[in-house]
Amino acid sequence: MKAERDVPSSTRADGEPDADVVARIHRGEVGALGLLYDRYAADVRRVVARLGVASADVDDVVQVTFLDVLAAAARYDGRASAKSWLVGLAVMHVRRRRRGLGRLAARVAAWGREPRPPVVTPEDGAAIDEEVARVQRALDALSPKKREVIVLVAIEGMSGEEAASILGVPVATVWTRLHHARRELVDAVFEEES
Amino acid sequence: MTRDRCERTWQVEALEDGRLEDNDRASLERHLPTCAACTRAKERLASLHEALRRIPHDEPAELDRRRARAELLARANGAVVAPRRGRPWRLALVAAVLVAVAGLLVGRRAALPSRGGEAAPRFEVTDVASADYTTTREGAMSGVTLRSGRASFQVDRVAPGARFVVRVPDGEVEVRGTRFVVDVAGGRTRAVEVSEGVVEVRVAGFTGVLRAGERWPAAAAAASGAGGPGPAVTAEPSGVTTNDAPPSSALAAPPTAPAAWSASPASSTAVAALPSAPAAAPSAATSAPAPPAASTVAAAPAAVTAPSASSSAADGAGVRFGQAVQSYRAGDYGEAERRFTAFVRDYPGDSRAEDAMFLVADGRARRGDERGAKAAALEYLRRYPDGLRAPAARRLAGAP
Repeated sequence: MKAERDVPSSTRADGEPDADVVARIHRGEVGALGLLYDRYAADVRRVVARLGVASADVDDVVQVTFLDVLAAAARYDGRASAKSWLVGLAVMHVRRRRRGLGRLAARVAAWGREPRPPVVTPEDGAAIDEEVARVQRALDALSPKKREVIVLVAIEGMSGEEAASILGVPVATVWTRLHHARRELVDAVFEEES
Repeated sequence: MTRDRCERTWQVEALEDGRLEDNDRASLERHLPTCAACTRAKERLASLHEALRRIPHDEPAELDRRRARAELLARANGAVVAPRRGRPWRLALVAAVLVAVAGLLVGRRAALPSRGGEAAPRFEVTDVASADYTTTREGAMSGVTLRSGRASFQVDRVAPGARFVVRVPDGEVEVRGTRFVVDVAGGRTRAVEVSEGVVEVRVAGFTGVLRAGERWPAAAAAASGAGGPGPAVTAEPSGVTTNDAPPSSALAAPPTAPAAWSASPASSTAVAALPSAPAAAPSAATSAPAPPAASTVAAAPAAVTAPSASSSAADGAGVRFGQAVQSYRAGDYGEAERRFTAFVRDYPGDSRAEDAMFLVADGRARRGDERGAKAAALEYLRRYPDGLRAPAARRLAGAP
């Protein structure tokens, strides 16, 4: 379950703690926002993409997430890691976007045009084995709530407690959703196989 | 999940998630080798997770990442710093100083919430060369203590009663909403250069007002004597008001700033000039965190969604930088380089100058001009040895 938690981050070489960077942003230092972006934009972007945001919209969600920091910095208490705090902000935007009816219509129209999710580009396609393609399809078929826990815990390697705080639900709810989500995925991926 | 069932299979998942107590875990681990159903469930779970993590996600190209970053900062700038500039505003500013009003008259920019004397001014500090500084904020006063190095400052309009002060080892520079550069070395202030707005300098016995385009040279300070805050020396051309009283002795708005601030040169000398410290300055030394009620940044969300265009329209530097980025985006690297270079020349203290210099190097690399890219990257590194782009610049420069 350690997925990408241990990926070394060279961007922290300058040593300034995240909480100090956020405090500087709170004081209005835009340069510090750039530093936070350098540290975590890739993480936020990856989570947003994995949550199923259409690839054309991913960068937009990342932007509004970091712009949120200007206002939200005052509320950051340093208890959660900066990464998980940012992911929390991003999740809110992903949910809001999903609720937008206009976007729903756009998605429906997009589905009409492309029968397959556009995540896998043709040149990648060859390299990706059939199992991954099946998992991708199964992930896309999950409900948003189940997808959230799968992405945060099973893929990003966050703890149940971290995911609970990001999603604003009790830890037990995270485990329950995760269990159901895994069952759906296993059924879809491995029963298809046999 | 599986056809052959075992009543303990549910525990496999709990084991994977680290939710089992020690006893249960040991027990399950003993059970696993003897149970086909549980073993199968464990393998499937592992295989599922492995496949999930192999789902590709497109990493943005470095260029796209930088573009997105520049766009973010431009939008954030529009949200945090009130749009400014434009002639009427500047005239109002000079007039305000001439009549010795402590704050700025903001003229037509009244759209942003005005917070009277309550809010400390918002500002942005950019490390130009090895700046060692800390930022402070207290009541209606905010400021920066610059111990050594060269830093540029961009300060939002200062409300009546509020103050923004840059403290240097041998004095202080008080700001009234502007853009300027301060250079400190060996415990002495070498230069204060104002590119926009008005600044009051009280350094090494000199007291005077600098306007846009003016510069306070250390030589003048030495000449004007070490007589402390004695009679003011006007090193500037005619018409400039020279104060020996603090500017906040305003007619309309009594200063709300704590007296300790202006009356404690001790704390600025205590940290005397250090030899060029690493760039990422404010660390544990950063003083008291801003009070939670501090409100200026909290006021930002309303402005966050405002299109960045509106702010950059009033912002010459923003427009110029935007044009350069557009050329860059369009793949016209020659034109982009001309524009970035002109931008760096005209706005050396702007926070985007660093990006501009780097993008010159990057643009050359993209044109296949390796030697040129290397030279530009070295130039960037010379100026921003600890810059955010330093790792990438070192790669372009071919350094290890």
